Amino acid sequence: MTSKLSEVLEEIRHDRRFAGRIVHVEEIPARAAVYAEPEIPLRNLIRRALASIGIERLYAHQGEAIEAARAGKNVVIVTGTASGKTLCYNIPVLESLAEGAGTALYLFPTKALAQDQLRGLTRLLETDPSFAEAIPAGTYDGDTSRYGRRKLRDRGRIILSNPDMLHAGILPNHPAWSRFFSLLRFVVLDEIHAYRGIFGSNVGNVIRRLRRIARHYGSDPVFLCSSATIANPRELASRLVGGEVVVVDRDGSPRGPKRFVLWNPPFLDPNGVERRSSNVEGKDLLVRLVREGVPTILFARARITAELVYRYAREDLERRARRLAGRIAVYRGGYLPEERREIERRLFSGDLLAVSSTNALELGIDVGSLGASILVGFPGTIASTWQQAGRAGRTEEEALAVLVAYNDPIDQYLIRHPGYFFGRTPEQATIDPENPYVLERHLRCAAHELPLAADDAALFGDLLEPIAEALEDFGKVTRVEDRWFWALTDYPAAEISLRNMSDATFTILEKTDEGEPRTIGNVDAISAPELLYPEAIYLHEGETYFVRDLDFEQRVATVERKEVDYYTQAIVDSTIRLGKVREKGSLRGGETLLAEATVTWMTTGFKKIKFYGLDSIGWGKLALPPQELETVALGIVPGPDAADRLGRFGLRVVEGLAGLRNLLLVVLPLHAMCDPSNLGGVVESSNLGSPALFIYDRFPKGLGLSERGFATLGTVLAAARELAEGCPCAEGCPSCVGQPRPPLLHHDPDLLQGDPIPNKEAALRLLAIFGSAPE
Amino acid sequence: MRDEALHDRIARLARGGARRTERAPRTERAECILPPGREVRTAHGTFYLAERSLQDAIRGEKNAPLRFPKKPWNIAGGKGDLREVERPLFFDLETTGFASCPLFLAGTIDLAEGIVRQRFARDYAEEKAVVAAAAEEIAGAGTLVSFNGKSYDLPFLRSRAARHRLPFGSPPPHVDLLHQCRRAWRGRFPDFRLQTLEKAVGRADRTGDVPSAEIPELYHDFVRRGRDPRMAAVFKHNLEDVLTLVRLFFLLVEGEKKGGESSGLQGGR
Repeated sequence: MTSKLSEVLEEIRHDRRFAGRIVHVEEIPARAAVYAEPEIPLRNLIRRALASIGIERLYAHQGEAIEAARAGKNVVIVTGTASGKTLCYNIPVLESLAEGAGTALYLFPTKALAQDQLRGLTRLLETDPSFAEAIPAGTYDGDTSRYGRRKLRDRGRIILSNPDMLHAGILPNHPAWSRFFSLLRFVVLDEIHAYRGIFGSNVGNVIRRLRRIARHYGSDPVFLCSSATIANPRELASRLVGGEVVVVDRDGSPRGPKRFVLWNPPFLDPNGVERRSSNVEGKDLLVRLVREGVPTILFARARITAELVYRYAREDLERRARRLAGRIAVYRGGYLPEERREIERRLFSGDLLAVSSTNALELGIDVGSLGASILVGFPGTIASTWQQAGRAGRTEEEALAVLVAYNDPIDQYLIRHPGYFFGRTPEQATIDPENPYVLERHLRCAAHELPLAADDAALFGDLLEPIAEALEDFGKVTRVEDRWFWALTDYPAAEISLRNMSDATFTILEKTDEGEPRTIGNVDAISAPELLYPEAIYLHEGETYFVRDLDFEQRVATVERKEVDYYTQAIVDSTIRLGKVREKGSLRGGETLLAEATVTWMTTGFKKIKFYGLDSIGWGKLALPPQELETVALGIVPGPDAADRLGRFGLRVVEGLAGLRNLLLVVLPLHAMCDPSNLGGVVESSNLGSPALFIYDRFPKGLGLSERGFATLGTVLAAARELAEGCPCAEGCPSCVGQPRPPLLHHDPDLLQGDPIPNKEAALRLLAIFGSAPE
Repeated sequence: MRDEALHDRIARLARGGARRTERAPRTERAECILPPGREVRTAHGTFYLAERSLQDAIRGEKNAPLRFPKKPWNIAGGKGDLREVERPLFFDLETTGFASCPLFLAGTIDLAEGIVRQRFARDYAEEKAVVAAAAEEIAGAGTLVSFNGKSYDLPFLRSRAARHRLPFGSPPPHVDLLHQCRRAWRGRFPDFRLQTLEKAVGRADRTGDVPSAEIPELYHDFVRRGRDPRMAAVFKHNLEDVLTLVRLFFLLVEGEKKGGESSGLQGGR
């Protein structure tokens, strides 16, 4: 097995059918294990438990993390996938809980992760019956039964949950958890890189509320965090927990050699315009690896793509290796939880040889030992790319990662500049728990949990008092002596979602000739009109379902099984309409404004695409209700002579604005302390009669992000110039003027040509006109 | 509307301005609008206690006089056997919602002493002392008598005690009249809400009563403004509820004496 993967790669490299695909192979050398035991040896109980799951020695980072946790220090562990991160917190937690009466709270970004981690924890606990009995552990989330909840509240010692549940289900009912909180020793925050931007700012506040409640019941837990590789793990972790954090990042786990391959589909035409479908290329590679017996995970950028690749691969295997057709599966959000658990289980046990997945499997669900990871398309960030590539290659065996490029400007840029990708540090993860809009919501919740006092500013920052006063003036809280008490019968946490989107979901019902309709899945409310419009083909486990009806009131999509030879893609129309202008400002060569804005998007029609093809074979019109986002936008409007001044160099204003938009979507998040995905940006001229750039908050009513951009525009534009000028690329690349807004979430990237990388010179000259660079 | 103005205020804060300089003066506590009582100081803070004799409390009522049945006061226990109720303490809470919200008024009647006590939190900060005092009185009672208290009032009180980190010992035997009435009068009423049963036992007079649903908001207003004339009516509402418990209890005891036949019922269906 050890030499096999390199043999397979050699064969593929020399296979005429794959000629010319491989444009780069990056060799990532193997690394030997570094072991280190903690100073005070592990207790026998723990040692025996570890031995019975096959662990005799600890890696250096595990030893280091255990030391820090024992010393009561907050820790963030930043080591590779499959480096045994879980033990870095499980060992100190179990060691402490075995000694006395403590409890621990584990938080995961998703329910699926919590359930997966419970399986791992249970394996460790069940090595000794007395252990398992003394430390009841369980997941507490939306799927937990009433009885199970009560049992965990009353007796649980390790609770695995998620921030949303903590926010809306546990903290507001803290008296029922008084036992658990009064004994709270550890809080584990796993995969904290998922808590970026506004979601992270929300989670940071939930953590502050948790710390306040713990303090009320007399405990002061230690935070044990883990993160995928990002640029600033210490900063992210310490902002999340609101205190000092020790970084453990010397990965002592062994690593086999890995090859990272950049793969470009060949041109279909002699003119070199169209390339072969990247989905089909990905499928070919997947089938090849499966037939060689290499356990493989394939990551697709969209749900539909994961389905398509799976369908193609299964059809291929049914023709050529029938016995393998049942050993691949597709995995994505929107499946029923039990279906997902089943796939996870089969993958972990090795029953499945390959899975075609969205980024739903990017987070640390234990997928067992995989040999290869295929990324169909650049996932959008360096951090995600390494995370996905890292799902293959555990322990000391060889591993393979292949990035199959799409025929779009960003992916093709990566193909042309392999050095760009492998030399780059992963992105920063930025949060701002003191964002006043975010803070205001959590102070409502906090006041409902326990009255606010001035000294809570130590947790929530200096805005606590002015916000509490504002809440008092608007009748939300009442001040009694020196504390603010929640003064309404409403339950504030119920109205506040931690995530970007609404929590509403549509149910997908399959109508059958015989019997009751059955639920086959669900989809979030925002995606429903893009995926389940009438006459859409909905792909589920690679099978085609025809959508009969989309009921917005009941939130139900009715589908029926129908064999067709095509799939569909929504045509989505999006507009921005400016409302009241709140403020105006000026630049040397243009104007700026801060205005209310309504962003509308609507599925106006759909295209039918024949399977395996890239061309549409038909289309339909739709009249679905539009979706609206009322928000706040920052506008940048070049002056009337900008066109002339750029025209002298053969450049156009809209080109300059498009580059500036992409630059601002990189730079503004660092100033407004959010994630690029929290912002939207468009260049258009219908609102003002001349081309303008609008950057808006992707949150109802806005969260002060564009506003911050407006207030500090001089600095932000200077930073944009610095980024573009300092970027070593010649004509623009994904790190500066290049990376456009993420394309529609549910579109098959195979069909999107993508916007070209805007002209860097145009953006720089425009910045010069605005006065932020010498002309 | 108001929330939009609040959003604007936060927007001004985000820009570094709009700190409030002065606050509207809050009116002082106005005991005059509450039933006569006194401030009680405890280790857990102060609260307001309206305390009087049972005789005093029912004087002038338009309802039928309260007739104490002869002892022993037997009531159906589990599996159909009778148990004798001694030194009963009747209790009823007024709260602002579900258990994550505060309670503010705990009404009790101690029949042995013949005393009605209403412990009131004049603001949220006084809740702790009310909870502590009520828990203490309950712990010392011979039998606790409530209406739906097994599911609501007692767990609520326990939860609020946990919230304030107060000890909460195991309560005395608890007779929940909701279950007793259901058992004794199954099928005789459209429902077993307290107000329905109340009419049936001849206590229909609820002049000037505050509807239960309005009570939480009323209390929040009371705290916000430091006064609300309707608070006296909430005291009365609570008193009526506890008195109804006593009457229902007596009726059930009489019924048991007559071998399960329930006399004195009016308006049953």
